[in-house]
Amino acid sequence: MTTSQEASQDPCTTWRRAEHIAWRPMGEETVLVDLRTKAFYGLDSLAGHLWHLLDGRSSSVDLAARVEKVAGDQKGRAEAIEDLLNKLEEREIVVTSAPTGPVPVVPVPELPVEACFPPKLVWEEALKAVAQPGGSCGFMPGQGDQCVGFPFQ
Amino acid sequence: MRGVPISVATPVRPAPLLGLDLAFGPLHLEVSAPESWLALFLERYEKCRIEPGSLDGGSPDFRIEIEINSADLPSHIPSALAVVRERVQFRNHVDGATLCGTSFDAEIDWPTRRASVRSPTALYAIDHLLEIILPILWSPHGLLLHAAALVDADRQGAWLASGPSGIGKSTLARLCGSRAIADELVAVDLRTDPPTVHSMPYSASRPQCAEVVGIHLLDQAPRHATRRLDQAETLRRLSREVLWPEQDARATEAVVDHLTQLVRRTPAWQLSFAPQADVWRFVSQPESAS
Repeated sequence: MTTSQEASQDPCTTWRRAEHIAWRPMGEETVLVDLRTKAFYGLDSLAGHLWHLLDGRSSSVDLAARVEKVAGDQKGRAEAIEDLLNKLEEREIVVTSAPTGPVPVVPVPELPVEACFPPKLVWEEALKAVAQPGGSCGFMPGQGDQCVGFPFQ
Repeated sequence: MRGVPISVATPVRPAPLLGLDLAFGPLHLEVSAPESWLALFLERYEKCRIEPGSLDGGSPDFRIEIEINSADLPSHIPSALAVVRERVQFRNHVDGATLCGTSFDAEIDWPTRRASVRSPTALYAIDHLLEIILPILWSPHGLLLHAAALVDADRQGAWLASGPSGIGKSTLARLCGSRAIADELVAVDLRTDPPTVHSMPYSASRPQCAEVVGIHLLDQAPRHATRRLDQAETLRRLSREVLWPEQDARATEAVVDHLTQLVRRTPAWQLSFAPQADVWRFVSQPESAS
């Protein structure tokens, strides 16, 4: 039996997007949202392009070939992509296991002209509930005067 | 934490339920409860009350029925205020959900848009329920945002000023005086173009809505300054201030859509400000003040 880590070190391992991730393009970035944890992630333009290719049939070697135009003949292209995928796998954003259902086919955007190598996860944001202590006092239960506040003058 | 002192020694008597119509911004709720419960409830929620029969379309978005199951708090709850600190378990099930605290429980039935709450005389169980249902109820139309709303008559719209607790939303609202319609929570409606902001009846607010002119993400500084934000940074920072319907994945994804739409359709700035009266120029003219 192959562990997930061993599988991800195999250049033939294929990757797909986890089913609980929603994503939207936002400016040059692609923003991912984990619908279970509400964590947000930002991928740069190249990583965002690769994201759309994660259909469960592509390995890091296959993906490296798809971005040759921006990466040139840079050595270690597949390894750099593998690094990104491993980071995403640690966060349960991508998986190597077989899908439980059909992987949705998504249109793959053009490789962005501003893309630069290597692809990066540029930010991540672990959200806390606004209603929790330290969050919105408006929505925190038991705020005695929440509806009798001062009128604005 | 502040709270309303509550008597816990009153014996329970079966009491007829009285209905109350409430508006939480654009959402309309009907609460049915014994009169004694409603009297205490209105000490905190009077501002939400609307005249019976004034609901658009005649029926509320959601109905809540309160049943007092005990006059006394459970022995492990030392005070009524402690109810707000208890852990609440949430379980989704087919077409509904269950909330369980140690002192109360609630059943939500989404198809009929009703919830029943069984609790001691303590009032705060409904706060837990509202915290869950309001973001879900509003998710088909928009999102709830931790923000102040400041009306700009010249632009015929309102600015959103968002940021974490303590960053200065209430301070900015006070400095903007009669222009402020909310200093804590707003509902943003993405069905309109431009989006519309509704004040929510929490903290200081008055019922009003306006088209969204722009977004300010707040920061404190010794001098006022503005900086235009790109979409990715706006989304990143604004995502922290959304009241996520976290118990419902479908509603969460809808709110992700609303948030991205809001960011794409609305210009945003970082507004660094000092608590000084001349801040309105920076709020209302961030382009020229940058």
